[in-house]
Formats: sequence, structure tokens, C-alpha cells
Amino acid sequence: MSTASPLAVSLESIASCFEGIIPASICTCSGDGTPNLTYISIVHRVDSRHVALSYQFFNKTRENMAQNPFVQVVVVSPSNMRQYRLDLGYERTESEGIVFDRMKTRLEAVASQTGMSQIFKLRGVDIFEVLDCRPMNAEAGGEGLPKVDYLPQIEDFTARLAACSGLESVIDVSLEALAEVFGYDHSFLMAPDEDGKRLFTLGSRGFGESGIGSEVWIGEGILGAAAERREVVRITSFSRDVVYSKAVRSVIERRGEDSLLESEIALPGLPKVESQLVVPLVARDRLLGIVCLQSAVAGRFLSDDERLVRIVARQMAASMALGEHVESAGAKDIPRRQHAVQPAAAIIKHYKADDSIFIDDAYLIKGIAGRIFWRLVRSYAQSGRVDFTNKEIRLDASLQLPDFKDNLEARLILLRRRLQDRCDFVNLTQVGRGQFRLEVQRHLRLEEQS
Amino acid sequence: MPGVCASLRIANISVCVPLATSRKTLDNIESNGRIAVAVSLPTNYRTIQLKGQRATSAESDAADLAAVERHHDAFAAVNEPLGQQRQRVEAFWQAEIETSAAMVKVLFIPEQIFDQTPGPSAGRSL
Repeated sequence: MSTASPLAVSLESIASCFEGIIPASICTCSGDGTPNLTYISIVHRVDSRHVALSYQFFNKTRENMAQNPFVQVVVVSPSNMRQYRLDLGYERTESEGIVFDRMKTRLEAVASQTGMSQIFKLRGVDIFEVLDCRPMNAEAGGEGLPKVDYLPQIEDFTARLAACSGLESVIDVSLEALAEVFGYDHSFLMAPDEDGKRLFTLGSRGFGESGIGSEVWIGEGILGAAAERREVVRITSFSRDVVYSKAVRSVIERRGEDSLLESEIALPGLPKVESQLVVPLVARDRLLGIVCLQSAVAGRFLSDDERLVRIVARQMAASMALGEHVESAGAKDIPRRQHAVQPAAAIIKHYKADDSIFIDDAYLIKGIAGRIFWRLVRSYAQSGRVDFTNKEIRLDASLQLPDFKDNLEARLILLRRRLQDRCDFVNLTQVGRGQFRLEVQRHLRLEEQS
Repeated sequence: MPGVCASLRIANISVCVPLATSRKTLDNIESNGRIAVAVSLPTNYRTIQLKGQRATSAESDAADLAAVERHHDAFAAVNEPLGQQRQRVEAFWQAEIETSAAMVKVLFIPEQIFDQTPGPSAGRSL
């Protein structure tokens, strides 16, 4: 399969140099031979003989390139810290295509995350032929990193997915398998809301707080950009990206609509994220969500991880698309568990303005999930009813569920998980295909607020 | 000029570079004397570039090597809050001298200084 590279050191053998973990330097020369040296965040490896550099600002580097197309770049291997010198010949500038789109998504995602959207615009991608690549120290060699065989793990992952029934188990099993099979210990999954404007967290694993129910705008920040563009966003050194953004401008712009987002629940996240990999979940050309992996270690997710998670995410999305219509098969007519109902009443407040629910003054949820919960506890309070079906909820006109996109299963999962997180005496249990039960262990007093 | 700036003394500038990784750079300096040196602070990316036309090289002395040591220490310290552990930064220095510890001093008088901090105004003359 592989052919010997004409380069002294093949680009494949120093792949980790092209991950943006350690900044590179680029030297150009003017027509009279005066060198110009500057740092660049990342050199992208396009193929075995080409690299790409982003073109955001017109500067001396580009001025020199017009006079002298021969450029030198020094990259550093994060695995062994050796430096490699690349002699490059400028070929062309692209402003569309796969390489451009991927670089644009990543750049704009980070810009949006740090409030720099107006500043960072990718004007183009400069494509260079690699004329030579050799170690700065002539006596040093390449990286010699062993190639990992992922096939057994992929098989294990897909086997676990195949055994799932229903959306909820797909989410749980996927995140568990990402950790157990691949060692991606910190992950969360978000799904789009009914009108496709926001993402809300539906599952998470490996964080102090689950963050279930937290929201972001689609199109904003790293998570939102990955969803909007349906493209992977991979960050290998978040601290450096933030420092870079702040160096360009320290003004943070905020969108005025922030109050419309779920602001009570914080996103799941590590206290100090260095690496992040966000992969869209797409099936039948429909965005079903995103999966986000995090690590406190810089350079944790490399290009092989990205490729691997792209494959895995497609499997997850396909399983989710199937699971949406299954609605968690299970045994019917599960007998009710007898709970001792404690006499002290809990106060459940519903605020009509945004359908937010507070249990004993602690925030639970708002929006559609809040509306559904209020409908359930009202039925329970009025008639003692505890068993419900998805179908009756879906057809209940008073809930005003958007009918153009059925997101009910995701909303019920969200509600169930928020209850698990926040309330130890009300539970929503799946009891069969399209059926669930409200389990209440305290008296409830309901209060409607305007 | 690719290579890592290891020691800098303002006025007449002297930069120590590891011989093993800087042979090409030293050849270039010998051929036309033109030099560009970029220095950047990792915590805020404030970057300047110095340019000179008549650079020369010389053997480094004990004082130069002491300055290199101080620079290594300070550089490791500012990188730690950015997620780069000290041993990684030290591994970088070690890789530069893995086959030879020899350092060469490059001397020049800067004739132009540019603000190289990333952004639309990068390249502004100072």
C-alpha cells in the first residue's frame, strides 16, 4: 500500500507535528533576501506532499510570498519535541473545498467561543508543495510512533450499540463504550431542540455535574459551530487558542438573546479543558445532535482519534435514528412498586411565562419538558393517575408540542434525567414501549404562577 | 531564521542557538548576514521581530550559557499555566541538544523592530 516518500522524512511519520499542539514558525524572504519570521498556530497536513496554512490577515509573510514563493516552516513534534524543517513552494490559495471548509469551521468555532467572530475570518487557505522535510538536527530521525489497530475496538463498540433498544439506551451505552472501549473518559451528548435553534444536553459521563438540560445556540461557540456546519471541530490546546484570540482583541461580544438560553444549568465540562473533539451526529441527512469529548491533556485527540470518532458517531447517529421510533421497548404491565408516601408535602411551582418548574424552590427545568412535567403532576394530583403513554402526550393539544418534528422521546429523557439529578422523591420510569410511570414518594402541593 | 531564541541581550543583540539544530541558519547568516529574530510571550502572544543586516556568529561563553539557563527556567514557568508541563518544555530543550550540547552565539544590531503580535496590525514598525 505505502510507497517510499521522496522526502527525507515523510509527513506521515511526523503526523503529530501537524496538530497545532506546539506553534510552528514560518520564514519568508523578500525579493532582496531579507528574512521575515513569524509564528503560526498550526500547519495542516493535506496529503503526503502538501501542507496548508490559513490566510486571515494580509501581512509581510504574504507580501514576501508574492515576491518569492519559497517558504520555510519549522514544526515541532509534541511526542519527542524534535524539530523538522519543511521547505515549501507556494502553489495556490483556495477559498472553497474540503480543506478550506474544515479550517474555516475550526477557526470560526474558536472565534465564536471567545467572542471574536467579527475578527477571525478565514480569507483563504494557502496550499504549498513540500519540497523537502528533514530534522533540524541532521542526526535525529522521525517519530516512529506505532500505528494503532482500531478494528477490534470498533467491532466491540458496534456490538454494544447493536444490542441497544431505544434512544436512551443508545445514548447511555455509547458514552459508556467511548470510555470503556476507547478511553474517552469525559463525554457528553447534545440534541437539537424542536425549532433547530438550540442544543440541549441529553447525556453525559465523567463530569462532576451531569449538566443534563444545559443549552447552547446552534451556530455559536465550538459546540454550536460543529452542529450548524455538521463538521468536526477538534481543539488540541485550548489555552493557546484562548491566548491567541485575546491577543487579537480583548473585547468579548455577547449576543443579546442569551437570556433565552437555559442559564440555570451549566454545561458539563472539565474544570480545565485542553483538548476537545466535537463530532456531529447525522443520519438520513438530519442533524440528531453532537457528541463532545474532553480532556485536560493538551493534544489528547489527534487526527486518528478524529477519524475514529467520525466512524463511531455515524454508528451512534444511525442507532439514534432507529431508536427514536422504538421508544424504548420493555415489558408491559410492570406492577407498581409500593412506596411509602411521606407526609411532608413538597411544593411544585409552575411559572407560565417560561414553563419553568421549581420543586421546593429548587429549579428543575423549563420549556417543553417543564410543560410536560406540569401536565403529569396535575393529572396525578387530580386523579392519582401515574401511568401515561407517549401517544397521549404527543396528541395533547394543551401542551402545544411542535408537530413538524417529533422530539418527544428526547424531551422525556431530559425530564427523567433532571429528576434523577435534582429530586429524590419524583421519578419518571419507562415501563414499556411508549409508556412511562410517574413515581411519587411525597405529597405534592401544586402552585401555578403567572 | 528558523531556530529557537535561547538568550537575548538588548542593545547589541546576542542570540544563542544550539549548533546541532541551527547549521542551516548559521550557513545563511554567513552567506549574507541578514537576520530576523522573533520573540513571543506565550501568555499573551505579544511578539516582536528584530531585523538586522550584518549578523555574525561566535563561540558562546559561560555568561551566555548562564543566560540560556535563566531563559529556559523562565520559559518553562510561563508555559505551565498554559497546559504545557515543565517536563515537556524541558524535553524540548533536551531534544535540541540531544546529539551535541554546543551553543553558538549570533550577534547583530537590530535596524528594524516590528510588532508581530497576531492580528490585523501585525507587521507594524515600532
